[in-house]
Amino acid sequence: MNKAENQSYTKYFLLAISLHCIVLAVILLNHSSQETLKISAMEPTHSMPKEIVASLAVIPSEAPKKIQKKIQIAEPQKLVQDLVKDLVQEQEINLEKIKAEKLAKLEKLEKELEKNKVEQLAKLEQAKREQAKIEAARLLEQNKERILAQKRITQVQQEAEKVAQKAAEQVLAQQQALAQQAQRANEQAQLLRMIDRYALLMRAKIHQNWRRPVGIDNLYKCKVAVKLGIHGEVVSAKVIDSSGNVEFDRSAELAILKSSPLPLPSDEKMRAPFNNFTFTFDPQMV
Amino acid sequence: MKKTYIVFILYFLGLCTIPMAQAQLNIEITQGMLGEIPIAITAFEGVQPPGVALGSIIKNDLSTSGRFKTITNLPGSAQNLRALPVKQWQDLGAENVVFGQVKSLGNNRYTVSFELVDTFNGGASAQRLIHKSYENIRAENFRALAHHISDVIYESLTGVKGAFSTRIAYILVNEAGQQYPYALEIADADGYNPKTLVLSKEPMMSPAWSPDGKRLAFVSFEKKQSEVYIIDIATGRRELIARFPGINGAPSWSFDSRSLALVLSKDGSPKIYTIDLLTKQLTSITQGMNIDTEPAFEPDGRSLLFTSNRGGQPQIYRIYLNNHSVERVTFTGNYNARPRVTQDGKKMVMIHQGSDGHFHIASQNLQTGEVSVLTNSDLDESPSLSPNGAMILYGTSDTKNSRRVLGMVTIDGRGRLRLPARQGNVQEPAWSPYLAVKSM
Repeated sequence: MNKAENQSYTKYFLLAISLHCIVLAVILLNHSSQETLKISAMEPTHSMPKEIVASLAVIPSEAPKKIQKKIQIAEPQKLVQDLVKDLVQEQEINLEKIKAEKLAKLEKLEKELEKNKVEQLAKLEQAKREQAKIEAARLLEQNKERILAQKRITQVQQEAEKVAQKAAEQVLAQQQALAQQAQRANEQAQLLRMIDRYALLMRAKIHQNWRRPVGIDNLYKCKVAVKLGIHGEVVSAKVIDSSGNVEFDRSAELAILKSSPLPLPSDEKMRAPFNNFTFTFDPQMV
Repeated sequence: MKKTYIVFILYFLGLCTIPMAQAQLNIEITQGMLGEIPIAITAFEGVQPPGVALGSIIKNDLSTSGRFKTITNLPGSAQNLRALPVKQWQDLGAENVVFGQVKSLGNNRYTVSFELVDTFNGGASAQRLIHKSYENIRAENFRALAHHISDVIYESLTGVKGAFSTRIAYILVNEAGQQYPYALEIADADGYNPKTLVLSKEPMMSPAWSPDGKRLAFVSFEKKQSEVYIIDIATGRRELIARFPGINGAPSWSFDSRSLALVLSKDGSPKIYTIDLLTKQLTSITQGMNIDTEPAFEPDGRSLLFTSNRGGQPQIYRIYLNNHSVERVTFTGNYNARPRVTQDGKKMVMIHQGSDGHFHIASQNLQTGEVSVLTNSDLDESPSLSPNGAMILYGTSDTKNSRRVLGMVTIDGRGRLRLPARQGNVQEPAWSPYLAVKSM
């Protein structure tokens, strides 16, 4: 508290003292029973040390009651002194009490704190223990999972191995098939070359033997189906797609008949396409 | 797993398609030598009427047609030839052989049979294509029978109807001191059996056969002016058709026999008219101041071709009978005249002046406009088509250029021959249509 407040307090102290004197006078006059002095909350704080004033401010309710009991005394100054002493004592006691209370509280608090701490520690410990348990459990789980995973991996690996093996087998089989294919394709190509060659030979022979009719337009064409014997002899040559002109059709059949025997490959396999084939006569196609 | 199965299936299918791809081999033949049908005609066995040999007539017919080549160097006699192995015929190059037999029945009557065989078909023995017999044939009809057999063989091997049983008409001019120097004659298509229809002191021209082959229209100057007559061949009776002032000429029959196209100059310059043969009604066809002549009906009867100088030089034009609209037909060369059309309406033959300045027979494809020159002597005229369109009869000079004779050329220009020369000049030939087969 500052000086200004001190000065106001002094004023009030003087005022209080005067009031006390008046009250005492009244009492003395009346000889009456105790009268409660209503002291305002602010009053007891006047000449008190700061701490007491503060604590008194904190505990206002108790002060007035104590002061009530002490009022039944004679001399005002002594009364006042006593009052003050009492007051001070009271205050000191109060203070002590308060201190004690506070201490007690503090202790209590401390105890509580301790207790809390302990509890907390205990909790912490518990928590830690539980954590540890969880950890342990989790680790266990993890382990289990790891083991499972491992199992799965090994399973997968095994399967992969199997697949790889199968793939390898398939590749081998495919390679073999391809090789066979290639061989067959080779044979086919050879066969086709042979066929081409003999077709050309036949064509050349028929070109030499085809008597084309005179006196008709050059617009006719026809298709003749041919059957050959083993040695290329023409067994039959019959027009299957007529040109519309009798002489043209006949000349085509005759061209083939005149070319008998047609050249045939000696290999039976290569003769297959020539078992049943056709000629198209089309002079426009040159 | 699935993937590999699919792959296998595809491979399998792929393999399957390879034999499919070569399902049927087809070889293309694009070249050959143009050539007539090589045919061997053996002499008919048995005794034939004197002066007639069926085999030779048939041989002549077929070789002059330009479509056949007769093989002449046949070994041995007729009897041996019948027994000749097929292979030998093939070696001779004969695709076909004709065998025949004549059996005398007495009383100038005969039985004739013939065979046409195919030497390359039928393996060891030749395949018989035709075998026909004719009973009770009179000697005087042997030539006709021979021509008929030629028709049968021709049609069987070419698919085209033969024209060997047709006739020709022409003007024979014999100025060497004859009373009647001009004769209108008809003969067999090979020139045999000529028959005179009209004898005249004055010129005759332009004989034209009626579509039924029984009548001839022609132009005569017997009365010192031109007249158009129709003569009945069987009876010799004539009918006067036109005798107008000026030119009466170039008669041409419509294909339905109902009218005759004519050239008349009675109204000024020569113009085309038609005359109805029943009513004798005259219809004017062409107009103008230029010369229109030589009309020829087209087979569908809707138009006729004619020669005209309306464009400057003589060219061939077409006029439609319904609306008389005119269009030009020839565009090749400076001179084209005397049109005649084939019975299918596709080709026209004409006199054409070539780049050498000479007049030749040419054909023009009426659809494409393509022109082919068919003859090559100095002055060829009066082309007339056979009814099957395969041959053209025309007037030409003999080799010494001393006389006019008849020539024949195939429609493609390959085969050319001259008919046997007659005494005098033969000109203005006309080929008859198909004739009704007479009883033999």
